[in-house]
Amino acid sequence: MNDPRCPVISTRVAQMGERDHLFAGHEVFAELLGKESLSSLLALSAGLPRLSRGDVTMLDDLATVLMLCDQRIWPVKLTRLVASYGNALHGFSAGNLMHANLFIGAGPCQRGAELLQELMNRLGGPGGLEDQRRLEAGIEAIVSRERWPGFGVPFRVTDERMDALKAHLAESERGQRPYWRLFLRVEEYLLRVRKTGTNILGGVYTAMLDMRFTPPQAGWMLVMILQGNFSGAAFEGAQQQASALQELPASACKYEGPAARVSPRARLSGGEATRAGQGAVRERTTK
Amino acid sequence: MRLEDFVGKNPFDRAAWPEQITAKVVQPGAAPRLCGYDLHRDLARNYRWSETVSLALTGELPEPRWAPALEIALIFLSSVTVVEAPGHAAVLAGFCGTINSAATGIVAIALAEQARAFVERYRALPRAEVSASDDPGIAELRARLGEQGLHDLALETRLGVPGAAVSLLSQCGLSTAAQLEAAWVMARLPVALAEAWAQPPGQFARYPTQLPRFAYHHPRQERT
Repeated sequence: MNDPRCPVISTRVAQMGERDHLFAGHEVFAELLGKESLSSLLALSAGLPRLSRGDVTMLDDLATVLMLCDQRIWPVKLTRLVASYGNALHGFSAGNLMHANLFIGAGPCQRGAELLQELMNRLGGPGGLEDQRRLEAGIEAIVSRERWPGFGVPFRVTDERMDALKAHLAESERGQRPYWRLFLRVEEYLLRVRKTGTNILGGVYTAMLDMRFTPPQAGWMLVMILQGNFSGAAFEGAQQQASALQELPASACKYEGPAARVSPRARLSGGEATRAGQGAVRERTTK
Repeated sequence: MRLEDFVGKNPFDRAAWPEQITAKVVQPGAAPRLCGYDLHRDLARNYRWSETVSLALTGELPEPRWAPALEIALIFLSSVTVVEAPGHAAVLAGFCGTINSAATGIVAIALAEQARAFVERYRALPRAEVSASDDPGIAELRARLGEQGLHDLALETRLGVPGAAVSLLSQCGLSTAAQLEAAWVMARLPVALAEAWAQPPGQFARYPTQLPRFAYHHPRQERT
């Protein structure tokens, strides 16, 4: 079909061949097989170049510190709820859709990274990191304008995952990289001035910026390295098919919606529905 | 590793949480109520499905005069075809032989994304006087409204029939993006799903794989 309204779509992702296939600019069997890890392939899928061994290890380390999947955590529990009818894939997919929200996931990760980049640009690059006055002005310009993902710790004083990542990087060369140093400076200021600590999202996008990921790539790669959290809940949830997840006992539900009422048409007809509605109102009142 | 070092020492164990889940829309029980109205004995007897949908989405029953307008808007909105991504996705789901719940999930997500994108465009339109349209679909929509005595409704004409239908829903009380997107998905889901069911599972040779075409650009080639 040669309809000009149906243009050819350009892709850099993949091309099937006869004896080998291309993936992100590489021959799959000849170049990648036996050499690349899963993390590395996922990075290639996001348009990143082949990562160094150190970068792959860093991605794996980020995936490890993110490995918090207590089954009560909301996206994880949602995964399990949907998987409770026996299909792990459906739970896994539903859990992943939870990333489309305002607080965690790809969008906030990307935005947090963009804001850290903005601050770095305001400072004129890594050389400006020690300019405390400009640093503070830049931070204030951002946090007075919008919520900065990566800062703020819900339900606890510090994010233990961030503490672990900081300790892990403290003695490493990666702990000296420009964005990491900048992020720690921002943390120091916001803790002092606003009592706001950092959470792991900030640690993840900062480490990724130091690996030369773009903010959109950081957001997407966050989703990729989080998959272990959903996998366990989806797989076990589907195996178990827990009846308590499929349906809670009625006593577990509290109704706080509109009170019982009779519709205008039922009122006009004065029929059974009106009597039923009034009965329900009385019942509710006397409880 | 001792389990005691973990259990009871995390925010989930330490904080006080509500012991019940809160319902705000449906009062559970043998005679369930939707936004306060008895579903079995009142709504089922006195209201149309589209009015019940409107009640669920807005919390209130629509004005009586909006009932036919809602029906007409949802029917005009329901025509999703296989050239649109949700319909195309439905076709692929059918060819791939996906199980029913997977096909429903795939099509619902595609429709929800189509709805989000469309409603964003719709709501971004600058306010303007309603202009005339030579779109035959919009003319038919006006005619159907006229047959119901609804002559005074202003239809958005800049986004074709879907835009006109969405503007009609807005005037029937579905004003937020969430309400409009949900109505969009509900109107189109059965239609798109039917396309999935109509495809021959596994007979990939009958699927137009080259539509549209892709061209691979070698990243390293670009660099050189």
